[in-house]
Amino acid sequence: MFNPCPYKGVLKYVTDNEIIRLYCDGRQEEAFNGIVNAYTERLYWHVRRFLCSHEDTNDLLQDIFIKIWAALPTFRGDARLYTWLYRIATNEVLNHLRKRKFKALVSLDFTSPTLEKIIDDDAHFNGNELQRELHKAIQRLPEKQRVVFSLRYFDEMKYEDISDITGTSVGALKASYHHAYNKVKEDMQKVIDI
Amino acid sequence: MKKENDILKDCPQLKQMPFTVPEGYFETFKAEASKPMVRKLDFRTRIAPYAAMAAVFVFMVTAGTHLLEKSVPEYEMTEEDYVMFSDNILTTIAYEMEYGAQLAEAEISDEDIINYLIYTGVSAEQIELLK
Repeated sequence: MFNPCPYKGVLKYVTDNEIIRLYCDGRQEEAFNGIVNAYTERLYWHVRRFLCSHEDTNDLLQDIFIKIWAALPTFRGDARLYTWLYRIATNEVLNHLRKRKFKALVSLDFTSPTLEKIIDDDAHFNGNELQRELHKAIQRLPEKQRVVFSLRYFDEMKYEDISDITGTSVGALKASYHHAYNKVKEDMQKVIDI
Repeated sequence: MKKENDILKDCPQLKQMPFTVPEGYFETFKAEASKPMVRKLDFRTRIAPYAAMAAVFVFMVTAGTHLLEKSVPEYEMTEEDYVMFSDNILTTIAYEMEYGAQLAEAEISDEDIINYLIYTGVSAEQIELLK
């Protein structure tokens, strides 16, 4: 997989291995810029599927890249770069959602919009009704099923890679995806039948 | 046999991202993320936990010392305590206890000094030599 990486003013194409090699050679800035260039879009869409709102996604994505920069020294070459990056992003998203839920609970703020409401009100939503219902159905899934469904259905990731990201066994992931898939399908079918 | 409908498989459009981003968002984001600002923020995020830990430590030490001072009442020694711990008390303190009131009022005469020396166990010959 080749990624365009314009660093030092020159457009270069770098692979994950080249990013790691840059880092190992002590060229941390270039390695980090390589990650930013190669993964910004992918991580953005991964986060956006969970948070729905562009503003929230933008804020969290900045935090994610700060975490990535801070965690780079702990990156071990035996793990794949992209699963490592997705793991950081996924953990940040889940922590963010938990914090948001906790804050709403503590402040007894029952008026804060749900993710389904955010989708309905999103000015940056450009899909059809079926797509809207699909994303609303995904938001109704339990946390773990939402992660598996998103990575498997949209990113078409292998179960082994999802297992690296979530730290869950392949068998458990298959079961989770099966449940999630059926729930989403049922929800979508209800909408179509109406 | 009737084929079961599966909207998720039959409609490939569903896999497309229905959300959009403001124009030029990714280019701006990448340019911003590559700036040294990221490193500054990183410094803050790295230092913040240690600063918080240090603050908690200082608070615990201060609060602990304060609570300890409050929980142990001030103790004033009674005469009985002085008798009990007399071996550990300097002889001058015992003397002061006995003659303290007089010492405070009267001036110290030669006789008082001799009495004190006798009281503290100095021999008559040594007192004679001091004269």
